[in-house]
Amino acid sequence: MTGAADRDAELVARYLAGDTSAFDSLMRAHQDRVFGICLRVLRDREAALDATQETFITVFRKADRFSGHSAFSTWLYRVAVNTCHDSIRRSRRHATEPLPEWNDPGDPRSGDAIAAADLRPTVETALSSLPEEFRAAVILSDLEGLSLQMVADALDVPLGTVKSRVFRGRRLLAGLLGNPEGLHDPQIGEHHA
Amino acid sequence: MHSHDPDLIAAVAEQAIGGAIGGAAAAELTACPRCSAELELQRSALDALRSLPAAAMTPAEAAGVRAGVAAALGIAPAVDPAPRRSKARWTAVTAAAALAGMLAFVPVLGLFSGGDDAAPPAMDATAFESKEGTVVSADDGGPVDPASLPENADYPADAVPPGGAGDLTAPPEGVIAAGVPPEALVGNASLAELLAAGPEDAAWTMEAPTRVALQCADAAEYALGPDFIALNAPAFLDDGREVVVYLGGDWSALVALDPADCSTALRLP
Repeated sequence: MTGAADRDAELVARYLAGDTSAFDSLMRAHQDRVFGICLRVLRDREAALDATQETFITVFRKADRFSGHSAFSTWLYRVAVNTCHDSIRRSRRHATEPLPEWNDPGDPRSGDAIAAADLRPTVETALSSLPEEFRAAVILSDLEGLSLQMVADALDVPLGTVKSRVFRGRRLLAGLLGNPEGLHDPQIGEHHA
Repeated sequence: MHSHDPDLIAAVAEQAIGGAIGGAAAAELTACPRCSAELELQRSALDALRSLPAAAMTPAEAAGVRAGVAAALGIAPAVDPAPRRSKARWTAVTAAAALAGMLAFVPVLGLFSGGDDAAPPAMDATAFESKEGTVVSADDGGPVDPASLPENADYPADAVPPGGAGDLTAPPEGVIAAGVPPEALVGNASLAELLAAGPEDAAWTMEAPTRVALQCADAAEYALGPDFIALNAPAFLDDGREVVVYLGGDWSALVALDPADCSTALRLP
């Protein structure tokens, strides 16, 4: 494991032994990245703060199950992603949102570039409209800078699946941002696990 | 031949291949129209993602999250000299303060700590008062301009915020204390004014459910109906359990659910 992973493992051990300063160190070391993941996934600051808190509560309550065979951060990010997805599912049960306007994008052949641009979503909006599994992979890889192997560990899927999800997620994102080619997914990379 | 190799396209887009090899790979992809189009998609997506601002908590938000986690785990976090809270949190703690004020008029119920062994939060007596069955408030009972507070200081220099430090395994004195920093009260109107404002005041609006409230969202909706609003602030029974508190739409009823099984732990009146 890396130096950071070793340090995390040591902090977890100290926390389990009753050293509450280790709790504070672990939180400070990872809180921003966990919040970043949650904010990107949920797109709501308060919900992201809640999810961040819930993630850490879950992880610390189950810290005795941390084996140390994989990085603490990987486990933490997995819990964060799952917590966010749970939050989204709960929200969907309680709210029905209208389809965004850009779900019906301007016809690029119309030549009305201004009208098409007005309907184009922001990067954040486009990112949020990616399929859940693509979005998580893109966020962890391209926004949080995790290695593909770490993303695979965090999402608990094979490395090839992560490669495919990141590739196709970017492709779809580009499509949502105005490149119509990206909206046609030829299932590239599904086989290259 | 790397014709349309997604790994290669991704690597070139990410500029993960440097030097002559990277240049040769890019040239090869450019020579293939389909590969070139794929490369452009990958690059444009990466450029868009890199244009996003960094997502970070403010120091106050980070301190609030750490305090919340510590409270849930029953451990004492370090006190942060954090800035004031965001508006959303502000309205939440305002409502929490109002709830505490409301309960101050309700005699002897399970939410009161009551016991002699419940350690009162250590407060700066010159700035705040803490009375059992009530809440901490400005000592003159009037509003205090938040701008008059020290910069980057949530709490008076020698005060320990309720729930911010000390033994969180013991229930805090009063009804709702943990997570409600003193400035939530000194920065707003007096309790009497808060109560008089009632549910019509925008400040009562809850903008997001708390973590424990989410656990019981379904049960609460089923049992209480849509007129009850979950308070976005921690509340504890006198045995230390955290509960989810709901206020009725007419602001006359209160229900506390135990997040462990979403059963009703307390109902007022």
